[in-house]
Amino acid sequence: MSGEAAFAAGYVLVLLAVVVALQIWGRQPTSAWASRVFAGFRRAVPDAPQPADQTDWPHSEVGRFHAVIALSVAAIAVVLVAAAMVRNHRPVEVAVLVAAALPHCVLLARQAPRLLRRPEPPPG
Amino acid sequence: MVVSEAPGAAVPEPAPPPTGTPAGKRGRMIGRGWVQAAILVTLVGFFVLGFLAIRTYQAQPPIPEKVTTSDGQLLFTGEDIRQGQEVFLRNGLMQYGSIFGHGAYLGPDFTADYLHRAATSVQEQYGGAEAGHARTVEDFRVNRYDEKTGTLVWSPAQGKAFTELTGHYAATLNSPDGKNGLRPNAITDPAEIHDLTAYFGWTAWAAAAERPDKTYSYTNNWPSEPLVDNAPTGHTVTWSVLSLIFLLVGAGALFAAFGRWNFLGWHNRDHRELRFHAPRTVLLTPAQRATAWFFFIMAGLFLVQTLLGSATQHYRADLESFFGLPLDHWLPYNLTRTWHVQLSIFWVVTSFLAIGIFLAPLIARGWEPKRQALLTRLLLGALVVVVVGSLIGEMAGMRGWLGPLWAQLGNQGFEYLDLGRIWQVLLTAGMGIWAFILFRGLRRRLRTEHVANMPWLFFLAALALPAFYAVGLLASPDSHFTAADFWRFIVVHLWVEDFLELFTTATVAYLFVLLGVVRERVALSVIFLDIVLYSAGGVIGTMHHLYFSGEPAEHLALGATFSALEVVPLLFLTVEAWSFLQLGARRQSASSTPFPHRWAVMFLAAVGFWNFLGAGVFGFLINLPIVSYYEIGTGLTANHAHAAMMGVYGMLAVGFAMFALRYLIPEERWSDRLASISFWSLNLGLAWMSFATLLPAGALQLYRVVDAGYADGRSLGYLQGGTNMFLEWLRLPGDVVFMVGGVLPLLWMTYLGIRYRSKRTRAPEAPAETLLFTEVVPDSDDDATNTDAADLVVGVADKLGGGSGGPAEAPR
Repeated sequence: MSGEAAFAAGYVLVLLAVVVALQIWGRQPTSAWASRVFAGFRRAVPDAPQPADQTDWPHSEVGRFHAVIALSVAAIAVVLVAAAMVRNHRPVEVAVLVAAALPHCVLLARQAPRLLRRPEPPPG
Repeated sequence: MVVSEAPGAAVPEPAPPPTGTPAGKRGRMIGRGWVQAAILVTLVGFFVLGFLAIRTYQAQPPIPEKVTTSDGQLLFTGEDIRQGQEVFLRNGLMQYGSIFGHGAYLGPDFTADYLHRAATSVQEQYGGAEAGHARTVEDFRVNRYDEKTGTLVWSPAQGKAFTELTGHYAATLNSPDGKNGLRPNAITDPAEIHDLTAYFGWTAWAAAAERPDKTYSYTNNWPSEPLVDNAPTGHTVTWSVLSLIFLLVGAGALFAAFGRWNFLGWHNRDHRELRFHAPRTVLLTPAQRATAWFFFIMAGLFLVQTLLGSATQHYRADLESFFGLPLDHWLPYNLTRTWHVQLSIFWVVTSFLAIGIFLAPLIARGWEPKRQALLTRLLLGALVVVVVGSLIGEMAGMRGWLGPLWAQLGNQGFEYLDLGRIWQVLLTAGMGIWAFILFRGLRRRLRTEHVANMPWLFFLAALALPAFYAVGLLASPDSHFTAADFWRFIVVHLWVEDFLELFTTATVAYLFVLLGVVRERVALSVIFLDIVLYSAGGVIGTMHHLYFSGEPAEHLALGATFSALEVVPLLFLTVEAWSFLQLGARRQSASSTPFPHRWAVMFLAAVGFWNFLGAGVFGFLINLPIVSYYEIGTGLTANHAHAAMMGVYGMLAVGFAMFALRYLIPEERWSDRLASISFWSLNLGLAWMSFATLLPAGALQLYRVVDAGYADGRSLGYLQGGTNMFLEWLRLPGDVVFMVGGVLPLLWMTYLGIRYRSKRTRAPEAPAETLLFTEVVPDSDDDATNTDAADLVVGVADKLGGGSGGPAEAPR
């Protein structure tokens, strides 16, 4: 197995971690008041403010933004593997590269159509 | 001049000032502690920076009067070294390769390249690796510079290596075929080649020879070179670990403090309703109309910058030709990269200048002095002259068409400060004139405000831009490189990461205040927090660029420590960013009029994302001295630079344009679709650029440097290797998306802003008013207690003007 194919497979797995991290990041509440760092203040103050609703704009854009970036990273992984297979196509290399790309393909197939169908939230 | 119905209501005089303030002047709207903390932190930062500037001059590597061999042969003189630096800069070689790791990434690092080649030659002369290693190490590491006589003595073997390398650089830089990124026959004069080799040889000597009374070299043992036992120093390792600890402690302390106390005042809940004026009802002033041309030129420069970027990138993927065209004959790599880098500053600054002029009348509640538009147009003309003049000058300077005026009218050659001295002075003066234009527009408002309030902070942040850009004038082609690099990074880092950041924060904060979605007091807190946090880390943190360029070890220690702390505000303000965009903070009931700035806000949200990823994560990835020791000047630096510069300041510049264009382009011509395409294409293109090429190629190059030494990892041979070329080509789809989908729609929208902007302007005699929104204040004690004086004025004014449904209400 060539070093290039091994590197491509390894890097694509790193990109899988990036995709997962971006997805998780996109699901985090973006209202400062929902943050754990303000827990002490919320307990101490009798009329502590309510965190903003995640459906309020622009908080409603957070998930979409991170999901789109995450899926673009998955797409990069698939393209990288496809290009690497053109240059490195011994059976073992193809097997490893396809295995590394598979989770990205599944993610793209499951989430891309859903994302495209979801209407853009209106501002305000 | 036609005047339309004013959208808002007239504003009465400001509320009575707090006790102790002059009559008619609004008192300070933020606690004194914030102001004192900001001043103290900034003063301490600059005091330490001043000390480090002095140490730079005291401890920079000496330039000897002459360099001889121990058997008496004169190799070169100090004047040859200085002339060599001028040849290096005049020919744009810092935008081809690098020196002390600083510069461009296609050509070699000439310090490491000379050191490796010379050490290889010396070792071979001494009988190879086994027999000659110890003598080679001794030749290079023992410092034989005599301060009294100004003489540096090299061994005869080093002298022979110098002669060999003069031939090598003559063959490389005088190649008739080109094919190496430089134009064919780039440097033909043998005397210039000799001086250039002397310059490279002197930097290589400084990189290996130990400082007096120290066990490490002038560059803290950089670059990694096993042939001369150059390896990371104790300082490099120790301060890397300590800076990590400082980061963790700093982040923990900050989050703990903000969890405990409500510094930012987000607790101001209220139930008021904002009604945004439809853009078509907002009459612009003549100067605001004139900014349409700024935004059009900004987008044009952006397009040219990306085209030059693609040509620059093509050299890394294919040195032979540009799809069959011999591009290096007309636009060699060092020229395309010079223009690419300079334009990245020009187009961003153009947007910043424009948004300042656009906001001034909004801050002054609609007032604009006479002839402000004329001054704005003159500024635009001056900007065009400087941009075009400096770009042409850079080409003419590199080609030797300007003779002795190359540094004045052509290119000074320092990366990011490439432009000729006259253009540099004119650009600084232009920014000064811009600050004067802002002062004219704001002066009525400034008269009524405490100096710690937002109008003054906005103006002072603007004033800092020309002031700190001017620091770059302290670096000139005849300066010692170490000192020049110190001042260069005051511009590259401090001007960009501290003062551009300050102006950015002040502007974004003011945008939200002007839109009514953030209280002025909260915005002020954010600005002061920004000053404190960025000054705490950013001012001294500038030194993280100067670990290995001839500065003493204290620069490394302080740079590592404080630049690690720079990540803290990035972490915190990213958490805070979305809250800052929390439009619901000031209205828990939905607005009855649509919010017109969807895409401006989206670009600002993208700024938060890239600030964290590009500046924070990718920046910290390469920030520790031990990482930087191997990484400096590799693809990972380019990864950080692109994700941070375009991701933060680029997105911001486009966001500012979107905000202003919303009022410049008539409603029927405005296209959310075009804005959407541009937004997603710019973000996806940038993500592609980073994750498909810059990050993996940079990681591989870093591995190569650690494995085979710095010179090898930076060699053309490595860059032209199969895997690196494969990754370089992989960038193509993302770049196409970025340019076609991202930049072209933006250019079209800015054209619409010129072509269809309304001729109706706001009359000078029109009453002062809040221009962008009205506010409905319900009769509620709860709200009244949460309302500050300024908001009350606006709210009452809107009530008087019928903001709750009267004739002044904005159309829905």
